[in-house]
Amino acid sequence: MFSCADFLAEFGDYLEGCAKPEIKSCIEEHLRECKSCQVIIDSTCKTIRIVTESETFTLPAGDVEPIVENVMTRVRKLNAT
Amino acid sequence: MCSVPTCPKAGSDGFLENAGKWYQFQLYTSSLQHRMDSFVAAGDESAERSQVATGHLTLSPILSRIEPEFPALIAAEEALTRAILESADLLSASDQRVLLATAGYAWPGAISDRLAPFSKTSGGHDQSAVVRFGRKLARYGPWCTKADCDELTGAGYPEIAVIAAVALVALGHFRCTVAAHLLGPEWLNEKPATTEKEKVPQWKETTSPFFSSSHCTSDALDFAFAQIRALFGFVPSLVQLQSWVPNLLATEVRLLDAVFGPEEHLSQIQKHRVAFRLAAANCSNYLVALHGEMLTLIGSTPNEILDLFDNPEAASLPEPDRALCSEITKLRIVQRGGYAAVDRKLLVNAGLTEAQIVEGIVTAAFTNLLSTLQFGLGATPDFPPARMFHVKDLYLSEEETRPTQNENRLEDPDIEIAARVKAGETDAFEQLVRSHTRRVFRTLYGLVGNAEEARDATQDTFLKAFEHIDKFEGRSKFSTWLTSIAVNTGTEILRRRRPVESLDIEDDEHGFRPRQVRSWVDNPEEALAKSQMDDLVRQGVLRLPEKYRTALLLRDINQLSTEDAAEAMGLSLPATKARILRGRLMLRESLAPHLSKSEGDRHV
Repeated sequence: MFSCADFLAEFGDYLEGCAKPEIKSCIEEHLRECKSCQVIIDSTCKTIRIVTESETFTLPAGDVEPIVENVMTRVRKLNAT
Repeated sequence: MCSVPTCPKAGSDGFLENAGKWYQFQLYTSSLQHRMDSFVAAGDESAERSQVATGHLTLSPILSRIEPEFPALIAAEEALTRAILESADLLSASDQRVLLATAGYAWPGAISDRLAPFSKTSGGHDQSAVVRFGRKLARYGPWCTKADCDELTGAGYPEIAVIAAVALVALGHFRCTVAAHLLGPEWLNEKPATTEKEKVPQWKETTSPFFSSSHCTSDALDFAFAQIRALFGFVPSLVQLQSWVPNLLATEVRLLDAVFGPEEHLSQIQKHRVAFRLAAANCSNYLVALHGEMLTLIGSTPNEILDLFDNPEAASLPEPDRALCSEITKLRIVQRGGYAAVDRKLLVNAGLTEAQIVEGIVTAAFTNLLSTLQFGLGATPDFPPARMFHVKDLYLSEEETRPTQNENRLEDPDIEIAARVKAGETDAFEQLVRSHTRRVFRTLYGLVGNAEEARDATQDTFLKAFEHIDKFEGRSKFSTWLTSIAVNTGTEILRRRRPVESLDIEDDEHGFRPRQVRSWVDNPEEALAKSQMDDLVRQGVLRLPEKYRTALLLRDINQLSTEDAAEAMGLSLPATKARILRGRLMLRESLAPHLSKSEGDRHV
């Protein structure tokens, strides 16, 4: 039987859409029966969506140019020495 | 009973940059195919086909999040889709499907890849004349001529079938424009898995329009003409040319009304500016003339219109309008140069609301639909255009449109810039810094957890890259090489600190079992305010052990492919996959208490 442990070991590729067909069908068969694994895959997909769409680590657009200017000043200085 | 094979080796799905967005697009494309199959399977029973169309042929999977705000738009798009497919009855089922997917072939990267299977006939080489015409129209609209249409009518296709074919390609461009925006930049920036090298067609002089207008009358036509007179004050020739297919025309006008009519978010002048700008980018003299006239009527000055045509960034417009027009240019269907996605953050910073941005995108999508119709039907301008495109304008794009012979350059244009830096052209480095600052910053902020430190470390990363540019041999992407420097820089900072900040969550090397198995709410994004969600994500990511945090940052936040993330971290692919999955599961644990439904706990 395809257990919950098997599911946890294999569902990374399933999430990425690159699971082998035989694994994919085992996972889907297991998901039809196992409520807990349904919850895990649903909440993991939601986690991926949330983290992907989050802009918590994003540099504000207006802050790019000052960094570019500083880097280029330092690069030109470095080049001159 | 089934045995469990070992974990598969590296998949070839390099375009799966982002699982969340992949699911979104999977839903879009697979439902597209399903909907086409259902429609075709419904056979000739028009009532059944209509039901299938009503039930499934809508943009709602991809626009569902905005549906409550734009019900008229969704309903109008659904009605147009139904009308187009009903009018396409004279085309074979296979041709209908291929034509609808053909627009994907004109879009770049992953969008093209995902739609490619649907845009080919079974044999790959046995395309019908109408599909060959559709492919030319999708990718090289301004090159279409009356001779192309005559060839089809000569081969026995009635005018109504040709108009339906044009409308199918136009609808595909509408959908791809919306999808391109919602999916995000990596879907546009990525190189397609298969690059077809083909020559830009020879432009030929043509007479237009390609058809005459029908003189039939019907209630549907009368109503559509009255509606469009109310909007524009006259009936444009592009509309008249479609009078052969009254229902198609009526639903198109309904969608036009849903796009341009409401002024709750963007005003009419803002929408016409967007449409005018994109028409200029698409080299559509017809739409430049139409929207230029509308802008004049509602108060734009001739200079403002010319500036908007030549360079929206220099136009004397309010900042939100200037930013919107400038970004919208990226969604043109006549591509010149590289592809890019609309920068939502930039638009928000310019003062636009999310609803205004969505309206801007939908206006752009509708402009792409009209541009395609015009290219396919050859409508002649109703007014003298503010500026005219000439053949040479189209051929300015040839060098950039035609795939280059140098595959490396095509895959990663940064390699050529890096080579110039290596050769002593220091100033060229600025372009690399500007392109990659935000990506490098995101990696470092996610690693070190402090924005100021991340800013300094971002500069240090570029300095190191410049000093060691000789070591970059172009065997990997420049962005991957740079990311590996950023990861090393961030890791050094963490190692200088005492290791106290990252081990809140248990790190069990020998297995990780999810503990939180209560169902989550259906729409987590609606359960919490954006700022609360951002805080939770930041705290959750920063609490991950460093190795899982790095993997998750590269894969999900910086959206590198698994292969590129592996290369940047110097790890094998299986080890990288394991770390990404562990990072995702751990982050899930930290989000779960805030997003679970309030039922009893159950454990695996």
